[in-house]
Amino acid sequence: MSQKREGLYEGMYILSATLSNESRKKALDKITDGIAEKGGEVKKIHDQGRRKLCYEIKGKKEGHYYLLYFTAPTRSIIELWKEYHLHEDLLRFVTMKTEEVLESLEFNPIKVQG
Amino acid sequence: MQQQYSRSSHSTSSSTQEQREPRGGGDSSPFAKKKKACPFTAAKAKKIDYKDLETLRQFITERGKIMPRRITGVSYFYQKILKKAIKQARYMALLPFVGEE
Repeated sequence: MSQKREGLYEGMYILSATLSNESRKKALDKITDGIAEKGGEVKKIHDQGRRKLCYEIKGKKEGHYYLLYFTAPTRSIIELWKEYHLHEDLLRFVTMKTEEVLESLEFNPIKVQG
Repeated sequence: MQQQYSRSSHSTSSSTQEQREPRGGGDSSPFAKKKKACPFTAAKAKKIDYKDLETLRQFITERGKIMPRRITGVSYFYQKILKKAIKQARYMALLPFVGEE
């Protein structure tokens, strides 16, 4: 019964920026398909574009950032991670529990006074 | 030399209280600091997002270190959340572990 538990997750993925547009799309499809396969649903995809990495990862200085919001059974997350570790073009990923889906990624920065 | 001595003695005798006042503010100790207000408490922040880099950048040094809260004035409660957010951002290469000099 506990297998039916679902959670809302937020996943950030860094794909290698050296990929061509097509192969990058394929890599992203692989991620979204993986979620769908486990019985999850992708709610929102934020394409954050190319960014300079603050430090080198696997010898790469640039990465293409994606932020996904998806629901998935809690049990399946660990299986997803195992897949991600085998994914060569995925430089880095993170999956976190969230409470809400952010429609835009603009924040009101908190300013320090003085 | 004699003139200098006389000048200093003049100042100590007449205006010690006046000199000290602006430092400590009244009768408190001269080392007492003004308490800084926490920017997150003032904004009533519910959480600090690791993707909100504009906010996070204000709390790290050029070298990429997290600034101590005695300098920034962030409250104990929010410093713990801020620390976590900065470390998450570092892991995703959004912020540096070691910045340029």
